[in-house]
Amino acid sequence: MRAIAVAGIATLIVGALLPATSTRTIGGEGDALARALREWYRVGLPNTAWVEISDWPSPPVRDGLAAARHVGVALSWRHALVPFVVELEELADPGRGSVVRSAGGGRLSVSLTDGLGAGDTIAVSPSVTARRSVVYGSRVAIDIDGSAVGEVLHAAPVRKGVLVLGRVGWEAAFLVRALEERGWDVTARLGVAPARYVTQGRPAPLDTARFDVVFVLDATAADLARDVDRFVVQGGGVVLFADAVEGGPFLTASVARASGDVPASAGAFLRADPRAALARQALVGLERGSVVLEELDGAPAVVARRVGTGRVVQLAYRDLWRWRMNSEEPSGYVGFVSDLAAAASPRVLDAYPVATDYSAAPVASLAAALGPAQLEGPPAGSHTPRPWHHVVLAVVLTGLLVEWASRRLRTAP
Amino acid sequence: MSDFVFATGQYESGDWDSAPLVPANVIDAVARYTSIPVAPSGAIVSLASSDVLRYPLLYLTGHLPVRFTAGERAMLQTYLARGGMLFVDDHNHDVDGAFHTTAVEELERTAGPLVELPNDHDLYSAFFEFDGPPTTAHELNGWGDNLVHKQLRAVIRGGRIVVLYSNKDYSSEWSYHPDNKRFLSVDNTRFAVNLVVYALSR
Repeated sequence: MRAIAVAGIATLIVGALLPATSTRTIGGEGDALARALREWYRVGLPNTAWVEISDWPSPPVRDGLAAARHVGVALSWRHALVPFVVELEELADPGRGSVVRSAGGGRLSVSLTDGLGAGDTIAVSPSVTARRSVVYGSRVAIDIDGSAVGEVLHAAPVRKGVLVLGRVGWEAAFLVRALEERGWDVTARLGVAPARYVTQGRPAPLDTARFDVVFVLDATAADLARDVDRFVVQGGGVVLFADAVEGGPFLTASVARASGDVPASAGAFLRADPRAALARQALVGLERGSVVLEELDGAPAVVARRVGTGRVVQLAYRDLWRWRMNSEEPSGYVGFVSDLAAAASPRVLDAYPVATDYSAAPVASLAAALGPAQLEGPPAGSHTPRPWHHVVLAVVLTGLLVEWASRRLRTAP
Repeated sequence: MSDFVFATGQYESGDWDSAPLVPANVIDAVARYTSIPVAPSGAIVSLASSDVLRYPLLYLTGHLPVRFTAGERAMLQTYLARGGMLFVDDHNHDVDGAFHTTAVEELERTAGPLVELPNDHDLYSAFFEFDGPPTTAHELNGWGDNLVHKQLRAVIRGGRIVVLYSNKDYSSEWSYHPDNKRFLSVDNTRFAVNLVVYALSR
């Protein structure tokens, strides 16, 4: 028994001195982590693991580590990565693409690849940057300094339609065409004779479930003035053209009163400020809380305000269609009217898809998957006692007890 | 909002002014049947001038051969690209007439191929309901080629008519003083209303 006990004590001492073979340290550059993980899953998971992350791990590597932790591997990690975040916001205007915002602790090059395979590269700097990129599809892949790190889900608004109300005329014809060219879904009700309309789509009912924005071009839609008021109070957007404000029916929603006209500047279509070539109203008496979105020669030209939970945008310009016909760059007119629709469009935040993939902030996603990162390196000499240690210890103690009992019995009188 | 102005295009090569009564008759029809604000008199504008850009609907007609100058062609191409619409009518009502042959050639060279417009196109229900292009008196009285042309032709871009070509001779059909409409059992300028409403709503 003494020999067994001595052998057991020796085994325990040797085992304590040997490194714990069930604790593994992995890390390294390039795909070292991925290779190490594959080895783990081939030979068996360790009981404990220390992970050194120096390169951006791909989502499969991250998820592989998280899975190991989930099945019981005591995993600790630290990293040498520079935290950053990338956010995409799709703009209301269908033709404007998305705004990319990024913030980071260092200087990185972030590449975006969308559903079409086309990419854009942005430089992330310590301050918040914002840059507009046109991306397609709801998922955008992120690549940092050459490593694929994940995807971002678009925070895409739910787009509804645009309704155009007015009389048949060049303003309506050009407006509908331009909005459709830009990707808006346009419905129209255009008066052509008393109680007679040319329609496109189904103009009624006018409510926020069907439309985001209503363009009111003139007073021919006076029969719908109350509906328009209700629509904007309930969260819809209204764009009032100059002729809609004159004559009264839409004054409740208007932002400013019209007081006379301002003549156009001849030849301005060919200059950098083509809207100066348009005749316009003089807007006065802006409602409280109004903002001036655009000025021309010191006078408000586009104004806006909140009405209830909706927005009203009002233009001073007349015959906006002339800009399209006379400008060498027709895209200016198209972009402008689309901007008007976007400015009035409600943004329904609770309709955004909930992003469950945190790859937009890769370091944060690692922390979510693996637990908080360690600031220090692995504790020296730390190991997990092997399960068989307990058996050996029990055998040793039993042997010593038996030896002692035997001595006592032999020496008993 | 500015009034609708019915504009006639003036070109160098032929008799662009062969139907001086048409504008007044079309204006009368638009004012009579619709609430579209329409200028009481039409405008005449040179095809080579940037003034055409003030009138997104232009009417062209004539009897004689048509050959656009380089300036006229370039301005027409700009005009159509920016959203203008051209309505061209053969005042001769001939299949092989000089105006028809040359006008088709010039229009196709300027704007692209003319295709037959189906008789259920939106143009024919834009205001009044028609089964196709209304037949004119000159088609029925044996004048010209003695044919009733069943369809109009058009250049279509983005689902919209940008050039509408007729060899049914609406220029003759509508060449009378508007006061004389009272003698007609059916107002034969109703199709002009469709034309204008289509242009102003598409």
